[in-house]
Amino acid sequence: MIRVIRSILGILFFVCLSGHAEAATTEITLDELLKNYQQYDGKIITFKGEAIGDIILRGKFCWVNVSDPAGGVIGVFGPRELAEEITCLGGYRFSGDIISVRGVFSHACGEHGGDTDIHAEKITVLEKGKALSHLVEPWKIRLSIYLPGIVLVLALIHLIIRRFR
Amino acid sequence: MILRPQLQDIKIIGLYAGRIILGLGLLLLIPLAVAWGFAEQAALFDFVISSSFCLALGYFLIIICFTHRELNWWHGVVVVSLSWLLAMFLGALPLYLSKHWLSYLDACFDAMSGFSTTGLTLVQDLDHLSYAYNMWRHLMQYIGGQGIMTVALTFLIRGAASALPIYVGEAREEKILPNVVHTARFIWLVSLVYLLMGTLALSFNAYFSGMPKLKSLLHGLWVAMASWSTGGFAPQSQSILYYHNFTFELITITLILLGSLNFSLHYTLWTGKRKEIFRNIETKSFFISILLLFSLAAFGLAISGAYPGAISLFRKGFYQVISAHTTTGFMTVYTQQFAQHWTPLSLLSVILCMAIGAGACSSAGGIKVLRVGMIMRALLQDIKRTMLPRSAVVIDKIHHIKDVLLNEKLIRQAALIMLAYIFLYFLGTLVGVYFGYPVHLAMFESVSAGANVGLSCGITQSSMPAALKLTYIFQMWAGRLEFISVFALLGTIFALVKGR
Repeated sequence: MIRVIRSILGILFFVCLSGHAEAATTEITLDELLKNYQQYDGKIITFKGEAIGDIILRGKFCWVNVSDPAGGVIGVFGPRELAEEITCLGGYRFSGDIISVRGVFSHACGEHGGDTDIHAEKITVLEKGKALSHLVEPWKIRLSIYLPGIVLVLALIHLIIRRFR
Repeated sequence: MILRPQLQDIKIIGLYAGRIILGLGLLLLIPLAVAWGFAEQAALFDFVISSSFCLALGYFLIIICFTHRELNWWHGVVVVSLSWLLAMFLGALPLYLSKHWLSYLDACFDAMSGFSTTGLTLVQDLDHLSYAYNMWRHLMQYIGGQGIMTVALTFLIRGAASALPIYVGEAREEKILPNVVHTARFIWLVSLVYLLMGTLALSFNAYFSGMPKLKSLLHGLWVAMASWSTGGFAPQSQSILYYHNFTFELITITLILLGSLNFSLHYTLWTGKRKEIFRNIETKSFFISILLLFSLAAFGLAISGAYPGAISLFRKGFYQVISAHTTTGFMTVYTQQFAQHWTPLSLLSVILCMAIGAGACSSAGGIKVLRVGMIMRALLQDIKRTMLPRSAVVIDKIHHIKDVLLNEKLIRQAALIMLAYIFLYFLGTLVGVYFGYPVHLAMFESVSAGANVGLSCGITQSSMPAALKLTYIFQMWAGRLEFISVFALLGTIFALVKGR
């Protein structure tokens, strides 16, 4: 009996402490969050995507921008320690770490001037980022040699014509 | 009887177009240098090809179209509208080669959006775009904001006789200094000074938020370019939301407000006449319009409860209203939120902000507050007349740099341009509705394109119909040039076909 009461109290304590109901444990896209914001607002969600750009510092906290597979990017706010695991951020040279963020979704966060964001409770790196290759097609290399040559010839003709005119 | 243009006419237009293309080729050397500096090999080849192609085409046109004749008024306005089209086709080359745009039409859309300082974009995966392409996107806006022809007048075209039609053809009615070339140079001086100040402020802000030195400098430069030019392109897909920074937002608001002021007003302020800002009909109309339309937007947002608390409502509402009214197009909300979370009343106020626009002879688009101010004054004057005896003579003056008599001619000119803009907005709305978009969203996007704003409620996507893309391209082009040059080019094409 005491065990049952303890368990109930424990669950109640956890619910009170977290203050947010769990909305979804499966990954959601930004589009889905914006479309059904009334369903997700203030709830704990799990958002999966690529960490892109930069980690933006705010004292002991930071922002990480996360891009879902459909291309929707959302700001994730949390303590700096949570983002320590992220080592690669997406840009021209790299695809960023694929991370999973568990946190509270705000359709219009009162703490951050109405931004749509996620306040992270946990960030997990699922897949490390990697270097992106940008191969140059052979026809572009050939054209890059011929075209400047044509420019030189035309510039020379222009100079000669100008002198004789 | 319509006269067909002679070979000499075509040659002189070709010669000046060639010079503009040559200038564009030289301009492409800047992103080429960025690609080289940051060892972005793929981008480097794309810019070598694009720059060389422009230089070759420019030289070719200059050689075959050489003539000693001077430009007349008609040639000048045709050169302007033609050069803007050529700039779009050629400026789109590196974008298309990058493969971040799905088709050449998409690349052309972004090039026109860039040069016309609109800011609507069809780019794919912007967050992985190289520095060189980002430099080109923002450079297009910076050049377009000051005016492609203003650049040409400063660096490429000599002779005051040719300069005036070119200057006027690019929707610049006011000569700040007696000489047009000096006016163009003054525009550049003001633009460079504010660009420098804006870059420093934004770069420091980004740097102290943890961005690496060089990257913060580039982001500062690009956002300053887009802000001053009231452009709206941003280096990241979240626009200004990416920075999560209130100070950053404040700096951009300052820059876009400065960029949306009339260059004549800048000149007056620079020469020490600071009181002008409180007396000028343009600034007064701008202030009243912002106040009224922001109140309307805020009321709409407040009744919908879209934002918790007054601070959030003010921060989101005010930024979007300022961005729309200055025709910039920076966003701190998502495109979907306009359609899904903003009330029709708030959306309407944003549409009105975009439609009115900002200062004439600035980098902003839209009808312009000066014209709206004049028409409103004329309306008040007419109401006043009805209350006075028939014999009473009502003389009204407006103050814009100097006291100007508000006569029939001025009012008619302003009303005609306003009517043309309304028709342009209506055209885009009609095409949008034809393709199945709801009327309010079609109107939002159409006004955004026609007034060179760049705010989007989600219609502008690569998947939208090609005819709608072409309509928006036309709207951006005609809206930026304020119609006259566009009509002149269309008239020339008609004369070539039907003339004798």
